[in-house]
Amino acid sequence: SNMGNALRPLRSHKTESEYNEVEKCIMLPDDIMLRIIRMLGLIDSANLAATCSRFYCLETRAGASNIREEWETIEVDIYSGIVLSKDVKLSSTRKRIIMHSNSLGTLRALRRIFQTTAIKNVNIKVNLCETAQRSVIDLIPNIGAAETKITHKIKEFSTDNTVPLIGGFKRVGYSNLGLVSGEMERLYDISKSPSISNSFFLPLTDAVCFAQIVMGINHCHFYRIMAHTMTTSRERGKVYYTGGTLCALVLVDGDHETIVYRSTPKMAKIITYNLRRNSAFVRKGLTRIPYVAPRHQRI
Amino acid sequence: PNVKLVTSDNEEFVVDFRIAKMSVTVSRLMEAMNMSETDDASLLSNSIPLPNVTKAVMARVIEWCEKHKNDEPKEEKENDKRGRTTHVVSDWDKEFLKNDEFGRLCQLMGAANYLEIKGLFNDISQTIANMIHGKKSDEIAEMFNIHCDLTEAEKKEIRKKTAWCED
Repeated sequence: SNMGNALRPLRSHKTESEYNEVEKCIMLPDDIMLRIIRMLGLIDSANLAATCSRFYCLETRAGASNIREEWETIEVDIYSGIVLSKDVKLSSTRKRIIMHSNSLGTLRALRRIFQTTAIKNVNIKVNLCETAQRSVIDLIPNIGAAETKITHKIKEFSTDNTVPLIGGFKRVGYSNLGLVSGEMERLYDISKSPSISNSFFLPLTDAVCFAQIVMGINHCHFYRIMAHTMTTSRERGKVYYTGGTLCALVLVDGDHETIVYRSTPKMAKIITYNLRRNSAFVRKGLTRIPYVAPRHQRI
Repeated sequence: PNVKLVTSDNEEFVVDFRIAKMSVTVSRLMEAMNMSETDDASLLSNSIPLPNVTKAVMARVIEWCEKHKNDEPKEEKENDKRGRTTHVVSDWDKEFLKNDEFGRLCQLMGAANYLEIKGLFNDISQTIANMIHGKKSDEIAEMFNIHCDLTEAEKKEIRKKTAWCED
C-alpha cells in the first residue's frame, strides 16, 4: 500500500540512537516562536519573557502585533481606598476582556497595555483620591489613543483645594476631574512632554486653572459674560486672529505653550474686548506675575 | 499515483499524491516541475528535493499526513476571549506527539513550517505551548536549553513589568 511505501524507509532506517541525536538547544525561528507565544496565556508568556532577552523581545512583539488594530476602547474605573480594586476592560468589535486586578496590578496592566497596543479610545474614570489621580496622570505619556477621556466618578465634586476641570479637548479630555493643585502642576508638566505637547489643548474654562495655579498668572478670569473683567498678560500670552476674529489664546511658559481654543465666535469677541479694555491694567500687573519654571528646572 | 520525495540525507520516500499535496511547499515544487496527478511519466521521472528535512523527521511528517489525508480543511478559529490563539489538538495527535522530546518536536515543527503543513504546524505549536504552560522561567529556560543573558537588574525590571498578570 501507499502507506506501506511511505513508512518503509522509516522502519528500515530508523534507529533509536540516530533518532535521539537531536540537538538539545533548538533555536526556533522568530516567526515560529511568535506563533507559540500567541497561544500562551498572560502568566506563561510573562514567564517565557523572563528567560532571556530574545524571548523578552519576542513576547513584547507578540503582545503588540497580536492586539494592534483590534482594540477600540479601554475602560478603567479607579476607586479610592487603600486598595484600588477595579477592573480593566478592553473591548473591540469582536470581543471584550475584563482583567481583575488589585491597584498595582491594574496600573501595571494599564501601562503595559498602553505601551504595547494601539487603542482608539481611552476612557478612564477616577475619583478624587490623590493616589488615583497621580497614577492616571502618570499614565498619560503612555497613552497613544486618538481619543482619551478622563472623567471624575462623582459629577458635582468640588472642594476648596480642588480645581474643577470641565469640558474636554481633542486628544486628552478631562471632565470635572477635580484635580488637587499639586496634581494639576504635574499634569501640566506632563503635557509639555514632546509626545503630547503638540496635541494638548485646553478649553477656555480650563484655562483659568492653568493660568492661575500652574502658570502663576494672577487675576486671570475668563467669563462668559462680557460685563466681567478679564486680566491677563500679553507678555505671557499670544493671541491669534483669523479674519479679524480671535481664534486662539496661547499661554506661554518658557518654551511651552498652552493653547486656549476659541469655543464660540462670541467667546472670541469677549476675549478681544477684554484684552483691549484691560491692557493698561495688565501692563501694570505684569510686575506681579511670577514666572513658573517647568518642574524639572525648579530648585 | 505516487510522488518521490528526497530528504537532506538522500533518503527517498515514495508517497501518495494526496499526501504530497498536503504540503504547500511540495505542491508548489510539483507545479514548477510540471508534475501532475494524471501524468505518471512526470511523477516517475522526477523527485522532489527537500534539503531542509532529514529522513527521521520526514518519516514522522508522513505518518502524520497519512492519518490526516482525508480530513476536511479546517476553518481558521478566532482568538479566544483572552486574546489567545487556540488550536484543539485531537486525541490521535496528542498520542502521536506525546513521546517526542522537546528538541525533536522543534525539529518536526521546523519541518512542518518549511513544508507548510498547517495542521501539523498548529498541532506542534499548541503542544509546545502546553508544555510551557504552568512552568516557571527557569524551567522554561531548561526546556529550551537557554542560557539566560539577562542581568539581575533586567530580570527585576521584567518581573516588575509583568507582575500585574500574576496578581
